[in-house]
Amino acid sequence: MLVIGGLLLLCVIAMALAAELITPISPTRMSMRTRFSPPGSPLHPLGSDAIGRDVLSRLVHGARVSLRIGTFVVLAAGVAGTAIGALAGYFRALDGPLMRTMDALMAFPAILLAIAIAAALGPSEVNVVIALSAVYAPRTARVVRAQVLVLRDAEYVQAARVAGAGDAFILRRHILPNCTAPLIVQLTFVFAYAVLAEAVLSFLGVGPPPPTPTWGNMIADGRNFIREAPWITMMPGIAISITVLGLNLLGDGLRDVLDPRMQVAQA
Amino acid sequence: MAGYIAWRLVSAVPVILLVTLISFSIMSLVPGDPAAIIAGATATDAEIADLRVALGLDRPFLTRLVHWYGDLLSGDLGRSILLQRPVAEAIAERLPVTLALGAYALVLTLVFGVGLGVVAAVRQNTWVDQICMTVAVLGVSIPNLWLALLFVFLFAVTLGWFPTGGYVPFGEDAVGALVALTLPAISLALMQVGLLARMTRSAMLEVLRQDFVRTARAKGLPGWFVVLRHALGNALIPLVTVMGIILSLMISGTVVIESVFSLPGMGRLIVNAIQRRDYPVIQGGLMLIATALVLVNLVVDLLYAWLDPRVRYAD
Amino acid sequence: MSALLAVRDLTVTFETTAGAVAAVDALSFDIGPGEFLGIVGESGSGKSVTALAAMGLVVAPGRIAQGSIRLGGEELVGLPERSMRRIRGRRMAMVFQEPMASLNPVMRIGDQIAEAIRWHEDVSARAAAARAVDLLGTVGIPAPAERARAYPQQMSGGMRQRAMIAMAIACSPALLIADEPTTALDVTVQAQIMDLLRSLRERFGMALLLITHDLGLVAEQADRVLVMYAGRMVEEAPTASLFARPLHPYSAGLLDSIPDIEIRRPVLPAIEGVVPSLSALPPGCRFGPRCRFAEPACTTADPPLRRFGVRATACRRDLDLARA
Repeated sequence: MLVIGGLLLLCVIAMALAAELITPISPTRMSMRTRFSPPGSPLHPLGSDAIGRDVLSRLVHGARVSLRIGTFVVLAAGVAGTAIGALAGYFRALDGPLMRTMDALMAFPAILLAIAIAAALGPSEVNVVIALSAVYAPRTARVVRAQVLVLRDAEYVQAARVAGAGDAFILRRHILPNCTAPLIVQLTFVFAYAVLAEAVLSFLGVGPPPPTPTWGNMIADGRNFIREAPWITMMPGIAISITVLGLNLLGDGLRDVLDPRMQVAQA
Repeated sequence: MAGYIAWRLVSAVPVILLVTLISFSIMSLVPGDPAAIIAGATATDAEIADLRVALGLDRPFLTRLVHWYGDLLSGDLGRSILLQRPVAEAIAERLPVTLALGAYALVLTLVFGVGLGVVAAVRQNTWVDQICMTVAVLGVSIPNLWLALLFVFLFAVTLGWFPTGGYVPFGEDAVGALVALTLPAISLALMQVGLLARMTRSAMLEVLRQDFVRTARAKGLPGWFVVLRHALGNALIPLVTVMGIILSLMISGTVVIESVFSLPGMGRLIVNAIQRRDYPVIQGGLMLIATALVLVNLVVDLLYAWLDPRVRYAD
Repeated sequence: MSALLAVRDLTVTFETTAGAVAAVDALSFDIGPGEFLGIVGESGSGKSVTALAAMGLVVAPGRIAQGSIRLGGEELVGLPERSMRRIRGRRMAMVFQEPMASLNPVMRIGDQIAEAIRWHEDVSARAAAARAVDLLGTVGIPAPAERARAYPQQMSGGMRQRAMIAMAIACSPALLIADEPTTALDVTVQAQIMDLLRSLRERFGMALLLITHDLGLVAEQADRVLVMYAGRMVEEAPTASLFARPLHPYSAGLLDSIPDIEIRRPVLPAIEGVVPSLSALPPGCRFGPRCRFAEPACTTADPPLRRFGVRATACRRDLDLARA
C-alpha cells in the first residue's frame, strides 16, 4: 500500500515538476482552429478544450497548482493545528475554550465552510489555501490534542516535570516529538482532502480564477461540452483520482507502519 | 450516565453560540466595503448607500450582532437580497429536495457501507476482501464532482437510462422522483460508502476475534446469525458516532451534486448565495446547517451511551 | 461400554510462517455416557485445541489434519457446518475460561440463553425466555428473573460463569466440555463452580470433559484422567490409579506440584524448564529435556503410547519407574 501510494504520488510530482518538458505548449494558449481536438491528435495528445487550449498542458500545470495548494494547506493546518492541539492538550485551562472553538469550526461541513470563506475573501489561490487551512487546522488540532493528553500523564513526562523541566521544554522535547506519527498520517489525509476541495472550489468559481490551469477549472470548463468533448472533463478527474488515491494509500500505509495498535489489528 | 448527559448538553451550548457567531462573522471577512462588492461594479453611490443601510452595515458590528441574535430568537433569519424574500421561507422551500436526496444517499451509504465492510471482514485476506476494500478506497479518492459528471455522460447522455438532472416532486410522481434522484444519490453516497466500509471492516475485525463470538458459535447458532446479531450488533455501536461525520460530508457533497444535476435544493441555494454574495442567505444557511449538525452529534453521542449497556449502566 | 465421544488419531495442525505444526498429535480417547474425564496439561499442551476440535470450532489457520471424532457413533470430522450446528449446543456444549469475554456484552443474559434454546427447539420466544429464567435458578443464581434482564458486566465473575453454564446446559447436552472453567475466578468461587458442575452432571446424567492445568481440580471428582504434553497424550488412567502411582515422569511431576495440606513441604517442587515450542520439538521423547529419568536412548525415538489394561503411558522406562 505504502509503495503503491508513494509511486502514484511520485508520478504526479514528477509530472508537475517536468511540466515544461512534457509539453512545450502554454496551458493558456488558445487556438480557435484546433478547438475540441480529440485525444490522440498530433498537436494535442490528450485533446484540446472549447477554446483550443491543450488538455495535457493544462493537466500538468494543474498538477502544480494542486500540489502547491496541498503543500501550503498541510504546512498551515499542520503548524496551527499542532500549536492549538498542544496548548489545549497540555494546559487544562485552555482546553475548554480552544476545543469548543474547534468544535464550532468543525460543526460546519468542511467544503461548505471553505467555499464560504474563499468566496468572502475573493477567488485566488492564496485565499483557497487560507480557507482550507481554516477548515483542516481544527481537525488536525483534535488529533494532536488526543495524543498530547495521553503523553502528558506518561511517566517519563512526570519524571521530567519532577526534575524541574519547564512546560515549554517538556512540550518541545518530550511531547511534540511523540506526536509526529499521528500528525504525519493526519496531514497525508489533509493533503488528499485539499486536492479534492480545490477541485470543488474551482468548479464553483471561488478558486484560483480562470484562466489559471487548475483541475477544478478544467472540469468546470468541460462541463458544458460533456456530450461532444468528454475528455476535457474526464482527464482532470482521472488526475485528481490518481493523486488522491496515492495520498490515501500512502496515509493508510503510514498508519499501519507507524501505529503499533493498527499492526496488531492487522496481524 | 446522568452526569454524562448533563455534561454533554451543557458543552453543546457554547458550541452552538460560537457556531452562530462564526456564521454571522463570515461577511466581516470581505475585504473593503461589502455593500460596494455586493452591489456590483455598475451600482451608483446612492444604490450602494441604500444597500448598506438595508444590510445594517452602517451600524457597528456589535449592534448588528445583537440585532441578529434578537431576530434569530424570534425565528427571523433576515431577507435575501437576491430573492427579495425571507431567508427562512427560501430555505423551507428548498429543504425537501435536499432531504429527499440526502435520505436516498444515506440509505445507500448505510446499506453498501456496512455491507461491504461486513463482507470484507468476514472474508478477511481473501480476494473478496480485496475487492471490497479496493471499492472503498476508490470511493474516498474519486471526487464526487467528477463522478457525477461521469455518470451524466455515461448513463444520461450516452445510454439515456436516467435524466441528466432536474427534480421531480415525490407528490407528483414517486417513481419518477426516485429515478431522477438515483444518479445524484449514488454520486453523493460513494465517498461515505468508502469511509463507512473501511470503518465497519476494522470494527468487525476487532469484534470477530473476541471470545463471545466463539461462544455464539458453540451454542449452535448459524454463521450468518453470529455475524449479524452478535458481531455486527457490537460493531455498530461505536459506528453510530460516525453518523455526524457522514452527514457533514453529505451536506458538503450536496452543494456540488445539486449544482451538477440542477436540483433546486438547499446546497444550490447556498452556493448561489455565496457566488452572488447574498449574505443573509449565507449566514442563515450556514448557521442552520451547523446547528443541526451540532444537535445531530449531541443525539448520536447520547444514543451511543444508551445503546452500549457498559456505558448505560456505568456508575 | 460403547463410547459417547470416541476420538481416534486426532491431529490438529496450525499453519505458521515456519510451516504447519501439530498442536494435537495423533490423540485417541473415549468418554463414556455420564463419565467425568479430566484432560490435564500445561498451556500449549493441546488440551484446549482438543476441546475446540470436538466442538468443530477450530478456525483458520488451524485445521483437523486427520483422525476421527465420533459422537454417539456419528462421525463429526468433515460433517457439513449445517449438521454440525445442530449438534453444537444441543448434544454437546462448552463452557469457556473467561466468562466476561465469553458473554456478549451488549445482550441481556436471559436473551443469550434463550437464543440457544430457540435455535435448537421449536419453542416460542416467551417459553424460551421462561426456560432461561428456570435455568438461571438451576445453576444457583438468586433472583433469576431479575438477573435474566441484566447485562454481563452487571454480574460478578462467579455469577457470569454460572450463567455460561446455564447457557451450555440449556438443551440438556449429553456431553459438557468445560475449558478451564474456574481459572479466571477467585479460589472460593472456584470450589462453588466445581460443585455446581458435579451436581449438574449427576442431576442430568451428562458426561463431563474438564480441561485444566490443575491436576488437583480433577483429583477428587474425575473418573479418569488424561495427561497431555506438547500435543501428545503421555498418560491415561483412572484417577485413583494415577494419583496412587503415576507411570509417566511428567504426571509424577504434576502430582508433586499439587499443594497437599497433609504433607508439609518447605518448597513445592515444580517441573524444571518449559514446554517446548511445537515448531522446535526436541529429538526423541518430547518431555526428555525436562525429565529426571531421561537416558540417552530417550532421544532416539518418541516413545509410543502403550496400553496396560485401563492404563496407558508413553514412556519407554515406565515399567522401571513403576517398579522403582
